[in-house]
Amino acid sequence: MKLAAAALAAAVALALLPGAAVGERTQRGNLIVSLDGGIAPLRLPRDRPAPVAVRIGGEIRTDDGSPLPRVTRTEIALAGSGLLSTHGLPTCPRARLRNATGALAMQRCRAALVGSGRLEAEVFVPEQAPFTIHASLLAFNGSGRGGGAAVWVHAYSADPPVSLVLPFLVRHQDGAFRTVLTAALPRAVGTYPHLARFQLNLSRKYTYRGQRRSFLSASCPVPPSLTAGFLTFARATYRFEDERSLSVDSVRSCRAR
Amino acid sequence: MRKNRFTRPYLAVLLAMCSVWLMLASPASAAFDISAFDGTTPLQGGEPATQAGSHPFLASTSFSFSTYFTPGGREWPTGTLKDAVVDLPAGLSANSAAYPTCTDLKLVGASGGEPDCPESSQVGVLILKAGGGTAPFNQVGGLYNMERPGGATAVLGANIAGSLIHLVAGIRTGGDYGVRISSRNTPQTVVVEGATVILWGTPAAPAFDSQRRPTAGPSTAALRPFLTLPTSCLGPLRTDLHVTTWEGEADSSFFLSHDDTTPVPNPIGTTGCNTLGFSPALRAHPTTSLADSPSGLEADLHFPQDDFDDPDKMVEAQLRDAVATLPEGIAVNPAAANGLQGCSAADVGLTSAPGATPIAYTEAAAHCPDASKVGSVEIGTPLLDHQVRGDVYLATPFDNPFGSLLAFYVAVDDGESGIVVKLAGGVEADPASGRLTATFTESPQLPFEDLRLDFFGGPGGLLRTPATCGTYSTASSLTPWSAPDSGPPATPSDTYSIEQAPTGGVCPRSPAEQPHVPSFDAGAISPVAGADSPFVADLRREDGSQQFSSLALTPPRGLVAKLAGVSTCADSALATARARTGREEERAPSCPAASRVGSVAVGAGAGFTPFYLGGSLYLASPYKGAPLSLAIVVPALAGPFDLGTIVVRAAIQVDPRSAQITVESDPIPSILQGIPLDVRSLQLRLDRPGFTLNPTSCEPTAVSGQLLSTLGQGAPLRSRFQLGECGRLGFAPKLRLSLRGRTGRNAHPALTAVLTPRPDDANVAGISVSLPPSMLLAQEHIRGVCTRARFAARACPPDSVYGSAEARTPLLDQPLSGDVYLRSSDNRLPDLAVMLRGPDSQPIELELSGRIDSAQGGIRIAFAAAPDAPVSRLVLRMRGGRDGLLVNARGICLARPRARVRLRAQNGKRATRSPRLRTSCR
Repeated sequence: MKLAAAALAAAVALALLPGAAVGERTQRGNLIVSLDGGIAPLRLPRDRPAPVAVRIGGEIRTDDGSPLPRVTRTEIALAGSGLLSTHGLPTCPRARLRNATGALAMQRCRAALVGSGRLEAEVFVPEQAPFTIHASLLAFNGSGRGGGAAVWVHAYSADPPVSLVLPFLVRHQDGAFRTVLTAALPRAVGTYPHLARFQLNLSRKYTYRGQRRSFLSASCPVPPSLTAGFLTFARATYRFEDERSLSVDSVRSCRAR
Repeated sequence: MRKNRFTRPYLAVLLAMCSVWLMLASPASAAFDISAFDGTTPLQGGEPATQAGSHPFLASTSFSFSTYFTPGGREWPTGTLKDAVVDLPAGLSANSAAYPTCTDLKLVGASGGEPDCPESSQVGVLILKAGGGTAPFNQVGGLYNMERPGGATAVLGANIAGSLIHLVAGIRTGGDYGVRISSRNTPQTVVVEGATVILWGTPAAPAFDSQRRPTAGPSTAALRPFLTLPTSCLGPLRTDLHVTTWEGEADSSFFLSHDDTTPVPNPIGTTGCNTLGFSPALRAHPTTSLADSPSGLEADLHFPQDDFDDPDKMVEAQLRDAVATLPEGIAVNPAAANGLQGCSAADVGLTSAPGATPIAYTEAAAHCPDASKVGSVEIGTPLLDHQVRGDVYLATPFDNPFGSLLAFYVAVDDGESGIVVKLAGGVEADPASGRLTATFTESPQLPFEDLRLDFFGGPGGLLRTPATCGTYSTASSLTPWSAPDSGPPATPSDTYSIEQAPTGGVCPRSPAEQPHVPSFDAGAISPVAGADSPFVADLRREDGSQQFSSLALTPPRGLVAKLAGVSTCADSALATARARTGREEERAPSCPAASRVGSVAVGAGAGFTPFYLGGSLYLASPYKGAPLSLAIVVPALAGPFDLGTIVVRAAIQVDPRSAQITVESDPIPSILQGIPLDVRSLQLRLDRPGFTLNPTSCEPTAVSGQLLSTLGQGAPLRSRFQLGECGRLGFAPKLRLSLRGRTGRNAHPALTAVLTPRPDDANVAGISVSLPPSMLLAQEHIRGVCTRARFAARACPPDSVYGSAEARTPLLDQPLSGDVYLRSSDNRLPDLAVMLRGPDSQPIELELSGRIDSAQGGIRIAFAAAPDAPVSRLVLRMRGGRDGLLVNARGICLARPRARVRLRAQNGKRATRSPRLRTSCR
């Protein structure tokens, strides 16, 4: 048991290392997508959600170094044990984030901040060596059309100075993955940048009407006879401009308390 | 009146004349004419002598005039003889030098009436038919070989009843060079009805002893022939007589040689040409053994005359046509044209039309200008006791007997013998190789022993030796007058060696071994930065090196030409120039003066003193894909030669990135009408006032290029180039940045940048503009990016255009304008590429490449390598709105943003600006 705990701890530690995209992979043809991530803390109640921080990282690459296909739509689905709550959390209008630097975005929407991270995009300009844009990510609680939950992921690169907003709309569904964040990559991304890898840490605790709340909550629904178990933590689905669609699941462990 | 007669069946050779006092005037009613004219050259047995080149026993000729009877019964000739001229058949010669001479004093005689001349000087007999009596009577006298006064070839004299009669022999200059014997100004007191002259074939022969004076003994002279028949077998020989009287009347007559032994006079000529010998020797070689050097030519034709003095043997056949072919490699040396003139048809006395045959001249000596003298001639003949010397003159091109570019005259005016010779030699130069072939035709039928032509050598030698060492031969084809009976032409040749390189060292044995290391100097006359100064490029090669062909020159960056106000020479004008003679082009240039931008001097020819051709450089229209071109127009006038007009185009390529020009010439002609241009130096001088501007950088650089030889070998050219006084050039350009369009957050403003340098400042070398961090790159508006390949092909897609630009420069009349693209690059981001293009008449293209990156969070655009060319105003307009590459991260009216601008000058000076971006904010 101690060995199992040590292995789990090691796995979690690896998973939490930034940039170590060593998660699960799926390959189709020369295209490989991977998903990595985790939640913290690992020890969770069996039967009720507790505030957690979720880290999701993904990578898209080709095994032969050929240019990446452009992602047109991405979907991140969280396991049914997770809960996304925005009740009482301030929202930021998407327009306030458009063409804003990171500092301006924070200045304008700090109250709605739900996460941060980073993004790398490979830029493929014809007849030119690809280069990578490193952007910092800020996630803000938003509100979609009709008042639905949304997460505006603001990306800003100082070199070159570009800014864009990835609009993730949140929907809830039945099944193993009940919370789904979907973003159609906007035209604002432009023709040449191709999403290569990202890492987003979502976490926000706030108080609403005297109650402490968390943007994300989760439980560890293992059978009573077990103190730890594995769960399919998240699924990422990428749709590419060539109509290919690849999904990858991320399985993580949790410990019941 | 001219008549021919066959009244007597004899072959005639010489004319005899006598004189008596005129007693009565002839009546005006009776017309003067020659009643008889005939002659013969028999063998000793009486039959006609016909063997060509042989010596007849004698020659006898006689003539008589028509007469009338007075009422008193006296017979008078119808005219009083004044001048009588006999033209002997060409080729019939009398060798007066073979016998001793008599003086006039002795011819008069001391004993009153009988001459005291030595018997060995008697060469014949004169029989005079005198009139004025009731019947004509003959007076006989010996005919003596007289001392020759200056100016006469030979003089024969007789003393008839105390009257001295002189027959003066000369050469028929300008025609067939036969012997002409004349007696002029016969005293009117002499009544001549006719005469017979008998010349002895070998006067010393005992057979004539009986015809000498009764008191004389046998001749003590050597037995040498006096008369020789022609060495040609061309049919009957013609003898002409021309007579004029004191009364002003004239008459002519002639007879053809004929056989008297047939019942009907039968014209016959010389025969047996096939038995004549013809064994000439040729020596013809350059005057130097140096390769590729100016040279003369020594040519000596030797005709053996061993049997000339043997009365029993025939003489050597005489030269009729000569063709000499110099070896390939020996060609006309253009350097010889320095100070050279041509001898015109009028100068030489040519009476036949250029190109017409037979060639005919006046009898007067040639009066060619000294500047046309290109050599000397020396003729040795056994007929004279001295060498005959003369000169060789260059004939005026196309105004010569051949109507050809190259020809020369051999002119002899021998004051001692009175012989005047004018011969023309035609020269053909192979249009591809320049190989020379000289031709003489219809040479005089005279017995030459040596004919030596020396064409002058020295630094301005007429010829240029082969460029490589080796053994060479001059070939010839010599045709005698005895042809075709005597067989094929003789073909003597002369072989010689070219052994030394002109500048020392190893002498190349093949063209490829010739060095190709031209010297090259180029630079500005005034080496001051930014100044307008003539630019000179000077190219030279040594003798013995490979010849120039095409040239590519790249002046240093920043050396630019002010095309404003300069027109271009149209292609049609250049075509006209090509078709014109050099003199026409020189007199009225085909290109407009407004298109002239410089001059060119071409040094042509081997040696230390090449001939310099002057020409002009014109700005011309686009050529071979280049936006501009130069036209090198050189009237090829070299001395008397007009070889047309040389037009060489040179494309002016403009490097669109640096504005550095490269001039690439077409091949320079190496030969014109068979005359090698043999370019030794080429100086190009762009000297139109204010046309060329120096760079404003003082960094050391170079004028570089490549010279291709006619063998296709390339030689690099490099001449150091550096200017001074860069420090005096200021640098204070103005830059105005303005934003148009909406000013709020998320707006995509249009950016306009206007750069205005000061006149006479150093030119801008680089500029960097950092926009405020509040302006981001609107990547969603980045649609197309032009690849470098398509950009180079000027085929960028429309969606890669993001703006426009316009540059005004004092160099051009029209501004350059074009689009602004995003273009692939080696940088992280695509470059902002500006393509500027001039008007269609001057389609110069310039590229400005701006690197896009970021500095302190803002967009930075850096144009690092601007051309070193003056710009009066540069406007860059980036589109806004949906096509805008910029987006406001915040409203720009809140805090008027500033840009940071760094400027770098070509002379190293720097300037920094922080201009506020102009907006429409109020």
